[in-house]
Amino acid sequence: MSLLAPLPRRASIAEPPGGVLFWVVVATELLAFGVFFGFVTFVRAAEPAVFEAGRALLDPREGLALAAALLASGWFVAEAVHACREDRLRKARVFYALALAWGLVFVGLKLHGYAALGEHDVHLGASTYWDVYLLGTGFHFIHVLIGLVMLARTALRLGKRPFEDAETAIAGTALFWHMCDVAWFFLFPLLYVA
Amino acid sequence: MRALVFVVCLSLVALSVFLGDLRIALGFAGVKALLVGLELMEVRHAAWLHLVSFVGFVAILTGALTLVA
Repeated sequence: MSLLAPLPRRASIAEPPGGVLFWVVVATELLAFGVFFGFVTFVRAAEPAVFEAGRALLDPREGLALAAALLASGWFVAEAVHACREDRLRKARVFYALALAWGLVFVGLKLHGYAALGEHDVHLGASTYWDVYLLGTGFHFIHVLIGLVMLARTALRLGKRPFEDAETAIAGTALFWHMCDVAWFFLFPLLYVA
Repeated sequence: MRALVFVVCLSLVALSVFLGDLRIALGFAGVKALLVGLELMEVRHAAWLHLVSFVGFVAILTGALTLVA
């Protein structure tokens, strides 16, 4: 018997892919991020010069590298979930390892970016741009760290039967990780693109 | 299909940097969010209500941000 049930052509309202619990979490988080994005867009339109001055210190290629790392990680997590649905656990473990590695690349790049900004005396209160940047990316960074812990725990549980509530643990954790992707998609242009 | 989503999303991120236009980049963000949601988050297999809610949320968020930007 497969660890995860195959995906139905159309799931019922009570059982979305990944389980109800994680969809409530993801919906709440996306709403919170959505409100923040609206706030950033409004402030950015109100203070274009402040944003331009702040953004001049950032390298868009750094944002591109961060997005690439998260995207690669998200792709491998999706492949891992798919492998679990086919009960190919060895393959799933490899994909989880790749996903964790790319997630750690994101963490390393972000920490390097924060350290580089520290040399320019960037801190909360320095300007509206840096308040928005540090709060937005910091909030997102915390989610990435939580997601990495969840992914690592799920990967370690693979193969240890019985794996209770596998749909929530495997597909739900993947949902949370993809939510980090989606949030970065909007944060990236608001903070890095002119 | 999942690999294609990865390639398309990565291309759109790179194009956002290359073009350097906020409204276009936000539009691309909406497209990326939809692709990741439908394929990687498996929303295309969800109930119609959930599918429409997700697509509606991303469309409204992208539209609102693009208008204000």
